[in-house]
Amino acid sequence: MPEDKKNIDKLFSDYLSRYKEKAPSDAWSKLDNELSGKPFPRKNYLFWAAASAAIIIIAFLSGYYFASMNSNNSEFIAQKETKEISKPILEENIKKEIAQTRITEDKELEVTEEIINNSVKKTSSKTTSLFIENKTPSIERKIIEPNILSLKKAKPISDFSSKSTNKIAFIKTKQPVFLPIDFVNINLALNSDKNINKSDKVKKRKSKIKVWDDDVLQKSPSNKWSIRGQFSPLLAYRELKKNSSSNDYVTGTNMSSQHYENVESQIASFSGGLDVNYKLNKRFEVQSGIYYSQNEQINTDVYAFSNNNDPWEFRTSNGNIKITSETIRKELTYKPTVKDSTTVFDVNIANFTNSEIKQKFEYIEVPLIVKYIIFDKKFGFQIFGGISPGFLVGNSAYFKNENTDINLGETDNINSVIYNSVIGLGLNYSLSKKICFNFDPTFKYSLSPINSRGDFKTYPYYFGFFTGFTYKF
Amino acid sequence: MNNIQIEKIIQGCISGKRKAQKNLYDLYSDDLFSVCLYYSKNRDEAEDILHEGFMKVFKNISTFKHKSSLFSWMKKIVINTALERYRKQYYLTPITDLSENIEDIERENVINHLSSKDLIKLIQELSPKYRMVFNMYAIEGYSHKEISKMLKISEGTSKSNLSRARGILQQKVRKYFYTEAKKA
Repeated sequence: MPEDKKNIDKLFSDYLSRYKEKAPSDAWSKLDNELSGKPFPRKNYLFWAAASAAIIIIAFLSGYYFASMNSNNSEFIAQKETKEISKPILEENIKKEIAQTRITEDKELEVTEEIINNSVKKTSSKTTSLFIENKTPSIERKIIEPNILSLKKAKPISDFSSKSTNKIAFIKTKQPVFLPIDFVNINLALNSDKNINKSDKVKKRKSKIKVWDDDVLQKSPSNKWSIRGQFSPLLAYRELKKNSSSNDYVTGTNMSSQHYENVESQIASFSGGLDVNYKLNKRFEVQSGIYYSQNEQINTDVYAFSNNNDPWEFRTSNGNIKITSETIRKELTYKPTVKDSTTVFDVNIANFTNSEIKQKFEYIEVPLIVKYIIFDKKFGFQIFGGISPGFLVGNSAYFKNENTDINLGETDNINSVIYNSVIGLGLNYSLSKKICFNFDPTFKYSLSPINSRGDFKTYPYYFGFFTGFTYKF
Repeated sequence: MNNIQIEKIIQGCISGKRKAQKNLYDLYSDDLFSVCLYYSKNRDEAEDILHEGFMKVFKNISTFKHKSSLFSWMKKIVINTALERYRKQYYLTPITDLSENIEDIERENVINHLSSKDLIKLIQELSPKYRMVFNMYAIEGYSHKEISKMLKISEGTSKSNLSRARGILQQKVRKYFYTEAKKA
């Protein structure tokens, strides 16, 4: 194979090094012209490229224009109630009125109610001003052909409710007068030869005329922002760490972490929400949003405890749940209790067989994630990491056995905020230019415990397969 | 043409004499146009490169230090012009499918199955990024390090482009031989 490569190099090298082809006959005359200061008549690549582009654009705009003409659903910007008039009358009136209007230097042109009223044949006491940033004196305005580009960029503020397209809309002071976009537009032009030398300036300033509210749309970034909706069931569990400061809260029990591991299990955990992504550059993206996550835990070995005849409470690895339910209290009076002699305090313990305690914790999370983009084509792949503070919004506990299902209230000493660390892989597949499907295997580990007191501090962790769709702006 | 005559032409070009410029053009334009051909995708582009190259030569001939032959110096300028053009445009033409354009090779020019003109055509069919690296490495003898600097790409890219270019050319040549053998 290497020999083949050398052969191919040699073949081309040998042949081409001795190859000679006569230069084009007119090459010298072109050089001569350029050396003499005459322009070199280059191949008109640019011309043809521009011409091709122009043809495509014209074809596209023509299609758009005719589609708009045929549509009965043209949208116009309206904030005030207007009257419906016939299209030809409106067009004629507007043309007549606007053509007579002159723009004076550095002045806002007051388009009086008369102009508007004549156009729409309605009475109104309001004066609407057409705000024009123009320093060219005495420029006559005239109607030109519908400006499709302006039409495309025009930003509808609200839908015009009427079914007809023959509407005119008014914006308050410093807002433009909006005319029916599919057949009338306002343009500045110089009508006399003496103003020709200013035509360039006028052209440049034309863009400042706020006839259409297109400033906003012109600034829209391309594909930098995206919004995403995701959902995932969570494989959740927790790590129990012995609470070194539990002396201030003597539980009076010798429950080991192993005991809780055996009797407690996580159920029905899920998370979902919306996030916004901003692409910083080709490689990095930042993400934030709002997610709801829910984590439920079941304890199937239910004991009630009472220290020194204090009120009874259920104990879980996460914390204690005060028993305020009269039903359970009544039941406790009949239950045989034992005293745990291994503890410093007298502890009464009552066992509830065939029962379970369900704890539910709900969080609103605001993740702050940085993504590193490995590749971003039709199929995209990223790695990401960050933190996801979770704000406790729900804390509830339930007692359940074959006869009863009782809301116990809440688990004590649950922290109002936890800080999850997040790492994961981002996989996405572009369904279209704007939309892509994403699948993010994610691992979250809480850096802070969910509870502040108790024998153990609980650090939950989750595996999730977040699935959803991204919309790119 | 001896060195004295060439030196006379150089001095005339430095003085901006049109006759000297024409002499220089007549002397080397064919050789340089051939170089332009295998650094471009077609004759039109080659002509543009030749034109730009000669303009640079006329403008900078006073800087010629006689370290190499005048032709080598001019060839380097022409190649740099082609590279500059490539860097500016950096258009990526699709890799030509082997089934395409093979029939375009003029059969009457085939001498011993392949002529230089055919080889140029095969090179011109390459994607610019492959063409540039192949020409610089296989024909001009630049190292990957030099190519990477000149084209502002990594050495690895230079190597992989060369490898790809070789692969494509090998297939094209084989295909061409096969086609011609069948015809024969």
